[in-house]
Amino acid sequence: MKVTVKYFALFKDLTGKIQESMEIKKGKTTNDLLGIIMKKYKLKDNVNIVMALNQEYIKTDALLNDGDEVAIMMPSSGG
Amino acid sequence: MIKLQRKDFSIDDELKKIKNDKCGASVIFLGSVKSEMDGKKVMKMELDAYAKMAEKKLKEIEADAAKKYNIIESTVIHRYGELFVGDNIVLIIVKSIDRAKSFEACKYILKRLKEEVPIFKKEYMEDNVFWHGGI
Repeated sequence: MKVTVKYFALFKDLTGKIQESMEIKKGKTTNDLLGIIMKKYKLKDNVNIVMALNQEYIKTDALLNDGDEVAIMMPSSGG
Repeated sequence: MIKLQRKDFSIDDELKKIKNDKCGASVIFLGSVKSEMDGKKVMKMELDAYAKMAEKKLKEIEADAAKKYNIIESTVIHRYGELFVGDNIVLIIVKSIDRAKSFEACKYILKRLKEEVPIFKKEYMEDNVFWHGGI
């Protein structure tokens, strides 16, 4: 199945991408996807990562579905 | 009303858009780019936003504030893109019948905006460039 991954702020800089479509196996979760992304882009563990699934913050690991939109971002700093 | 936009805004124009004579109080918060941070000179700022989610969150916050503080009218505008010292960043206008509640509502909206709305600041300092909260 396919999910869309969007990158914001620091993660745009680190990945060189704004968004990408990723093919993942059915039954995978947001944590699994994060692991794939961290490995692919060699992201370090000390980077603060906040994730959202379909425009809602992820509080616990969540099962992914085909067509989901996942955002990789940082803690908010607007205002 | 909420807006996420690149262009600047006018406080007067925004006040006129939500004119309501039932309200005796209009509380305004205006955030702008400051010239120094931790004693160091700020050159400029870049704001990135997850627009779709930011708008959704701002609408939720505005609706919650309206219910909690009996707000009659409100406006929240946040800018993104490249901003320089003195430029406007965020505008919050709250209008209600009760003055005290208007102040509280304005603080409530700002606090939640800072914590929940996916907008991110990149600071260009005189000797360093960094994303807030990155590492």
